[in-house]
Amino acid sequence: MTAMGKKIELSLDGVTAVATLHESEAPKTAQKVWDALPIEETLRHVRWSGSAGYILAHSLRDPEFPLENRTSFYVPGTLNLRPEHGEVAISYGPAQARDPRGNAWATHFATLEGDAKAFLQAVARVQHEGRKQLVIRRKGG
Amino acid sequence: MSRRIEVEVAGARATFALLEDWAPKTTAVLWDALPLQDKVLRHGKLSGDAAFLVAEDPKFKQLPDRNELGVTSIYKGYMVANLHPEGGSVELLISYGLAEYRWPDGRRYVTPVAELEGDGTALFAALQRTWSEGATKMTVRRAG
Repeated sequence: MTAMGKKIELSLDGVTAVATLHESEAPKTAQKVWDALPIEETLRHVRWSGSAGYILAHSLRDPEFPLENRTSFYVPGTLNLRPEHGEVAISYGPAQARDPRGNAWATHFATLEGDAKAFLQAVARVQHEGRKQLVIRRKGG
Repeated sequence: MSRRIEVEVAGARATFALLEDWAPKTTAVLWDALPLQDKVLRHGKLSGDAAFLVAEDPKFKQLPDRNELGVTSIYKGYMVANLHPEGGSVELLISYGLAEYRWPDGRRYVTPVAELEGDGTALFAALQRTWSEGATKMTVRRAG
C-alpha cells in the first residue's frame, strides 16, 4: 500500500460506499483509523449534533490524541472523529460537533467518494428505524 | 387544580399536569385539541435526551404567536411546545434526561406546557428507546 490514496469501504443496511482517507490533512488520524480496521460497531443517530449518525469505536478512543484538520461543522458526506470519545460521525445534512455543553471540535479525516446518496439515506434512516450495524474495512485490503 | 393529561408511548403511560399558570393560552389550546392520537414520535437530533412529535390541527392556529414564559432548557419530565400558529401545528417535546431545545443555528425558545406527576420510569424508558430503536407512536389525551 502506498502512503497516499488509502480508501475505506463502509457498509450499512446493505448499502456500500467508499471514502478517501485524508492522509495529508490528517495524517495521524488517518493512520490510526487505518490501523484499527476493520471496525464493526452499532451506528446510532446523534442526539445533539443534527443530521448525522455515529459509532463509538473503543480502538479510536484516546483523550490525548491530537485534533487534525479541525472542524466543528460537519459537511454532508464527511467522516469526523472526536478522539476523546472514539466517536466517528457521518453527516448526511446540517450537523456540528456538539454536546450538552455546546459546540465542540473534531478531526475531518475522510470524505465519501462519488454518488454516496444511497449510503447517506441509510444513515438518515437510523433516526426513524433505529440503530444499524456499520462495518468499515480497508478498500481492496 | 391543574388540568391533567395522559401521555402514552408504546404502552407506557404517565400523567402530566398542565402548566396553566405559566402558559395559560398555550395549554388552553392544547387541551381543546386533545386527544392527539397515535402521532409519530421520533428522537430529537439536536436537543439531547428528548423525543418529539408534530401535530397539525386547525385549532393550533389559535396558539399565541410568541412563547409564553420562553425557556431553552427542557428539564427531565417536562413537556415543551414549539408553536406554529401560522401553519396550525405544534411540536411537542418531552425530556427523559438532559435536554435543551436547539436548532442547527443554536438555541431556540419554547413554551413549557406540562410537568410529570408521579413515576415516569416506564415513560422515560420508552422515550429513550426511540433513540436506539427508532420511531414509535405517542398519544396525548385528557386524564381522568
